[in-house]
Amino acid sequence: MRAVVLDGSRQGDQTSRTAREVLEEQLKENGWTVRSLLLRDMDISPCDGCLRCWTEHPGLCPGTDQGRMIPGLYITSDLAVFLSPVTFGGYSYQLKKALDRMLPNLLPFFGKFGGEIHHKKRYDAYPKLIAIGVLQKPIQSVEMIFRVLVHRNAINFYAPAHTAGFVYGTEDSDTIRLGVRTILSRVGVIA
Amino acid sequence: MTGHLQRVLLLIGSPRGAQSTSASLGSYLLLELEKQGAETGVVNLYQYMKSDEGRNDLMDVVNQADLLVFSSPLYIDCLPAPVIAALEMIRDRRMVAQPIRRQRLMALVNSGFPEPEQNATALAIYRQFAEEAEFGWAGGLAFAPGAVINGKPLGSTGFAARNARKSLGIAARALAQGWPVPSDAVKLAGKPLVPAWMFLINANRSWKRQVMDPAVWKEIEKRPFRKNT
Repeated sequence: MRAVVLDGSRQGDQTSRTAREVLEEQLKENGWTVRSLLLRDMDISPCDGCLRCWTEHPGLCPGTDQGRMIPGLYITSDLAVFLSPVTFGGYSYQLKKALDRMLPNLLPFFGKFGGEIHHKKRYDAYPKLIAIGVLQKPIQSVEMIFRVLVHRNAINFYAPAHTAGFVYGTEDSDTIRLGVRTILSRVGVIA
Repeated sequence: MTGHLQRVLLLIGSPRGAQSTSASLGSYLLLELEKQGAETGVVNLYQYMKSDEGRNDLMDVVNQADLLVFSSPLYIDCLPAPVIAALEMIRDRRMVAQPIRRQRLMALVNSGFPEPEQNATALAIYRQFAEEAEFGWAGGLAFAPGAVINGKPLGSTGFAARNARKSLGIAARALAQGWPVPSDAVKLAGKPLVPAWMFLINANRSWKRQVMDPAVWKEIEKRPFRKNT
């Protein structure tokens, strides 16, 4: 079982670092092969909206930077974890620059799913999705936006299961460990 | 001119810049605001965020505006990454240098999906940014689907953009009075132009025109990272 962790944290964010280390440790203990990407250290340009991943090279981004490999790493995983400081209720720039490059994993064609129109799937199966938001302290309003965003991503990325959870800057490493374990167990990726 | 609006800044958050639907919608709103006496300016966030000089210039023009109008497409259920980078920077710098006067902010979001609800998270993020960066929230409009406009000036898109024009006209009159975007404008912006079944037929057919090479069309559903079949 393969997991990819997309870490969208900022430099010096100790809470995110602890969360990632705990996450990797718990997944590995449960038999997962984990690949973590520290996105701020990667050469990933923003998607330029050219749509050539649909009109010229189906399923492949024509970019030449490291962002080109994001769709492949994602789709060949059984679990994807988004780790990000909660930024206005959404993801950080560092995480979003990678997610914007995932368009090739969908088809350009539209279909109706659950009463809404979405792009059709390119692949038969997509990974489960977990998003861990990092906040200094609990803030209900931004956590609500984050949960809705992750739910919408799960629809558009055809995740067979998904959940969103939070870790806080006020928590010690034992509390973060417990929080991450709870989040992972919600979608059955650890015992 | 009522005195509520002197300077309005349109911040285009699309990689297509001036050729984008985000620019078409935002520029039409500026025209309507100019009729109300506003002085207007436009910046392309993608360009400004590429350099330190651009980021400093962006802060200068942001600080001079009475009303900021962000206009962007929906990318993966929220804002394109460079727009988030701009919001992070503006918030961080305003936390250091407190704004000296009350400024307002509104947002326009467009997507390829006909349901305006799909844009709701993007608007919620803009609203949260306004709160954290101490802008007064003047409301948001979600337009669907942007592909009908496809970067053309709204004035020349005829019947297809009638709801967008009406919506932006209503919004401009309210904003000039210092009011938030009215619910009438919100409803018009999100009103589907065609039924869902017709949208599906038209949108899916349009890809055949966009894929020029017959060899590519044959492989349009290719799975370069196949693992499941």
